[in-house]
Amino acid sequence: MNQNIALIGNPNSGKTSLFNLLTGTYQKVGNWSGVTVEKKEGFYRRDRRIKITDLPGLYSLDAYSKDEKAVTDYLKNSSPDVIINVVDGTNLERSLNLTALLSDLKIPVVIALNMADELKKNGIKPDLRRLTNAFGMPVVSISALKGENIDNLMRVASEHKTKPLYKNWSAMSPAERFKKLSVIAGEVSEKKLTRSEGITQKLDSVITHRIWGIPLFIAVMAAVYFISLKLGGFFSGVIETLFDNFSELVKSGFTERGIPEWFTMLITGAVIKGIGTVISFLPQILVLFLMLTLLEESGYMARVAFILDRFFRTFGLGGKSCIPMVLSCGCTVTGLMSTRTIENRSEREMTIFLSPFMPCGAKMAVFGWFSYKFFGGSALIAVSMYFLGIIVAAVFGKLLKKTKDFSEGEECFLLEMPTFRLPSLKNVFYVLLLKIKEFSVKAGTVIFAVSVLLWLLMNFGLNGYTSGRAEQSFLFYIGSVLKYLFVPLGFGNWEAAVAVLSGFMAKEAVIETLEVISADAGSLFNNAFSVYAFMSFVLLSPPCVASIVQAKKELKSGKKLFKMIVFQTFAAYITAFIINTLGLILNSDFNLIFIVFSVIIITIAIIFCLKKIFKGGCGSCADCSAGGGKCRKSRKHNTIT
Amino acid sequence: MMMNELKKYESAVVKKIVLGAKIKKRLYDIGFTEGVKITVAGFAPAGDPMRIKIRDFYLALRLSETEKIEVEKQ
Repeated sequence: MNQNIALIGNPNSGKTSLFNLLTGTYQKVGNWSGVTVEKKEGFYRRDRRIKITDLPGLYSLDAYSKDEKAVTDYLKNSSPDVIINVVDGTNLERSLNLTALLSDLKIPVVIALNMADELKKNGIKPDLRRLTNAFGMPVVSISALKGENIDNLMRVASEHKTKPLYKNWSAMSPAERFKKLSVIAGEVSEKKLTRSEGITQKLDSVITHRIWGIPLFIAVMAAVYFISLKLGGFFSGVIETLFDNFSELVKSGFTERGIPEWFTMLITGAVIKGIGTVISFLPQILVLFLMLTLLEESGYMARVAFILDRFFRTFGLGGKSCIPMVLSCGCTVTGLMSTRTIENRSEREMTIFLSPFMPCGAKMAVFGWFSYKFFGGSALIAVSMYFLGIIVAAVFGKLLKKTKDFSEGEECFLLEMPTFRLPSLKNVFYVLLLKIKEFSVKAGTVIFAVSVLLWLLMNFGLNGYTSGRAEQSFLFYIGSVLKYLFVPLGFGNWEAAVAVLSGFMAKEAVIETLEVISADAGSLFNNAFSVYAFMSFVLLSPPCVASIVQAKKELKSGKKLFKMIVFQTFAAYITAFIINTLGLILNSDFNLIFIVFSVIIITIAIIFCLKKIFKGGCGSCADCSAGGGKCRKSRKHNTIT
Repeated sequence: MMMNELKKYESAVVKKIVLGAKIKKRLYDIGFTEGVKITVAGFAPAGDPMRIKIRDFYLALRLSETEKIEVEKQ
């Protein structure tokens, strides 16, 4: 008989950890609320007839945010045979509210009392019988982290058919319900978690310290970048040498066998070089993800949201936008997915617009390459990109907030701060494995295709095979048209233009392109400033195709997506333009006329944009239209000056 | 007194929540109900949000909410 089992519980109660154990698959986990944003299905690894559905966490059966709606929709549309209510044993009183509401649904429920290991460490022995009697649900004590008692849970769940005791909990007032639940929780376990709580409190007093909290966060993120670049960069060098040697070997082998020159060049110059360049970034990206996973697993993410909330609010975001932004430092796609937990529409959409400004792992590889080529391997230059991303997000976030689309007022901010946990080595290992897999697929598909396509476009022109004369190739024609757009940014040549274009397929492709089509990348840029302008353009311009697809999914509107792309292109262009112009001003051989011309253009552009953006006011209250753009409610709304 | 007037490590009992229905419901769902005991655990660098202990877990709340929650200090 086929069975449907659903995992339901509070955020961060361990549903996905349990799901991974039950199905033998790997879905992302972390120690913060809202890791899972959509339902995931899998089959019990010991009995494939049992379908298991993992759902986002929630506190009650009402939906507030998009991820919670996935649960209520699921309960409405597909009726599970059994619900496994994953209950955080260290947080019984709060968790039982959902248990009580679930018992009103008249679907058989089994309680999986999770975190048995944590309870044991604190010397707590919960009285399972009392819990069973209170709700009429069998209770199995498990540890999803350690994999304890999991199959026993499934045995109980697959045989359980009785409906819970019906007490019509949802009809009670919340205060009354919680009073009763508090009594039950007290009976189940009398002792409190003093040990784990003490550690968390001590760590929190440092991490969320009023003075040191923010400098510590900046230091942590800078260190994450620095270590990824330095440590990863070392291994990257090794891999690069290996590929170079391999390429030479293939070349001589092919020549001996009389294989046509163009084919040898295609294989060595495009395929091996392109894929080799990209594979050599893998160590950096792995180290980056290793460290971000450690941060996620420990419980640090919620603290970041807590300490930065006030500052994020000054430019129209909230603490919950911090998590997508930090995750975007790994991969924009994961960052964009995590925006689903933000309840406020305008805050969510703004986070989607701004998160791609963060330097993802692929962009970091690009910056690492540039630092190595142009700045003597200084990791500081690459780390500075991370700060540039934050500054641009802050400035443009503030401007965005002034537009009509994003002026919606803030809503309630509730952020749970989980107990600190030691990251599980197994999860870290899985994340790395998953990244290697993802990356290999990427190298074998997108990167391979880009390499071949670029090579073909570069070696073929209107007259057929160009035999190395790039000026006759199709690529040259394309780049020659595009390059004029980039003249004001300091890299107005066809090679750089094509590199920027290829970055939309995958950001790593920027370097791959430069490596493949240009023998001397140094000749492409006027000076260090135009190199930096190029880097900032790569950082800020619309992200790779995969991210754009994800953004479309999150925004659910082609029009908004179009706006996002225009907005990001605009931000990238302005920033790169300013950087390049600065370089022209500071350089000794500056051209006065050009500078005056540039300053005039910048000023006009900024005034024009501000006018466009400020038109219409904040629109969040009647004062705007009535008071001729003067807002008196400066605390709650945006002041228009 | 209002919740935002509490200092670090002070405890209080929630008396009245003067907030919109939606926010109120959200607070109720996680166990922030009238009659519950809270303890201030700390403040973010800018003094806002506030971190409290409630029903054995930790929760962050903004000033915009805490200034509309009436409590009785203990």
